[in-house]
Amino acid sequence: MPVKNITIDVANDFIDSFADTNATTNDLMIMNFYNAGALINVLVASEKLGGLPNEIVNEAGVGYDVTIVKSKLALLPSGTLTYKLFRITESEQLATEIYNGNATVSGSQSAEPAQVIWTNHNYQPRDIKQDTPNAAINTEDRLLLVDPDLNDAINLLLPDARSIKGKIYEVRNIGDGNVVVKGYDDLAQNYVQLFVVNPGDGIDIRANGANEKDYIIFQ
Amino acid sequence: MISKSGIKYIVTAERGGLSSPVWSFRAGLRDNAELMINDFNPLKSVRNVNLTVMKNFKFSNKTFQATVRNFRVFDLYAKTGGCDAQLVAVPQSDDPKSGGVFNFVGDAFFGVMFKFLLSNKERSLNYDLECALDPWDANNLLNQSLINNPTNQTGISTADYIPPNLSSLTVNGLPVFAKDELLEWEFVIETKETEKTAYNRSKVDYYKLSLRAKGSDATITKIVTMMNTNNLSAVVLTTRYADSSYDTFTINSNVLAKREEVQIADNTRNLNVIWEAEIPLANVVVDGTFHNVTINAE
Repeated sequence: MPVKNITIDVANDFIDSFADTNATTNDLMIMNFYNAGALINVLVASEKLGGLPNEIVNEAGVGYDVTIVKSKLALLPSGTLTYKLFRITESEQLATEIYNGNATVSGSQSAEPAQVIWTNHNYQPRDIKQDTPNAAINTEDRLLLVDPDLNDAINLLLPDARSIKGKIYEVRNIGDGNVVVKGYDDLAQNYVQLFVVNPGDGIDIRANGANEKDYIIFQ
Repeated sequence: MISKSGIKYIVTAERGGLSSPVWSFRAGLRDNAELMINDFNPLKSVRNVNLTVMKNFKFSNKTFQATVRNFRVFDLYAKTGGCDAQLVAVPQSDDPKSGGVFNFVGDAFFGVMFKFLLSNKERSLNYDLECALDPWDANNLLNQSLINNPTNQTGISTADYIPPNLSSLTVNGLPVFAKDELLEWEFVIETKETEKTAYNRSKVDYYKLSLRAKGSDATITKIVTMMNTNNLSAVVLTTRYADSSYDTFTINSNVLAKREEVQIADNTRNLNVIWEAEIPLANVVVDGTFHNVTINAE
């Protein structure tokens, strides 16, 4: 198993990359950090989260080596830690250790967090059919395969954007009718229409979080 | 101010169904479209003074979204007497509504005429939406266009695009032409306007069908064989919409009437087989998969 020592300098965004770690589309890459053998309560996994304060990001994908990127403030204790990089393939659902080594953390640190800063998303697509015409979307959702009938529509009811800033949903309309994406309006005390996804189309939605229904639509 | 041209998107829906929208069609891959607003049947007074009776709104569009699902949507519009529509023009300022968010809903719904065309050159769905409104209602519609909320949809999308193709064309179960003999072919289902209502909406009771296959096999044997085929035989057209998935148009016997045109000349020799018919709207049935269209005699 390859051993690679990495240096995490909190003054820089880029941490390191790992050769020959190409992931297929549905592979999950997870990096665990250990302090004196004890797992540190920070989970870093292959999901493009991007840029939130105190967040650590690991980017991977088809044709790319795993690259670990973090924000200015790494929520890791300073000093020398150990780490392990795992790959979980969709077919086997097993974590295979593919790299390990020491991680030297330097620079000004925040305190070690008591909470998990990010939990893994649900990597299994969620199928939503016409028997759920008003589907509440939760924070564990990620890829939504929506199948509305031609003579009807399916409403996707998004959660409060303020509580999930940076969260990305992928919506794919695989049906014959329309998918109506709605956010809750505190003032109106009702869901309001944000976007209509036509048959065959797909959009990505990112929670911007300036208010309860502040989502950015990527067409 | 010099205004900006452009249409952001157009969406139609069944009458009363624009807000969701239900039974909708978003023109996402189209040729140039236009909304024309002009006087409808103005009265002429002395010295050639025009007197407004009504204002006519006509929207014409050609799309390359000739899927069976979309045919079924326009089939519903024809069968229910029209559709609602929202046209969003390119904004004229930072205000996204400044170009106009034109809602044709309620009493301002559109009458619909359309043409569904499959051929060796293109697959297209052309439609005209038209209605005339009292001047007051027309003014209200225009003023309201600066206030209406857009339904927010993707303007351009290739989701419905299918390249022109022919998998098979048979009459009585036998190929009309071998594929390598085909020169050109075309299948059209279009609405036939029976009359216009007082508000200039098309009243549609019939579809006009036409199918034409022109082949280079114009041997005497072929010509005689085709001429001796029952004029009202069943015809089946199959086209591909995905790698190994097909749309089937089954025109049962006693629907289409066949005739032939033979050209024997110095620079060509071909056989043109033409089927035509007019049938009531109810005789066209689309199945729930939106990949099979059956056209019945009765």
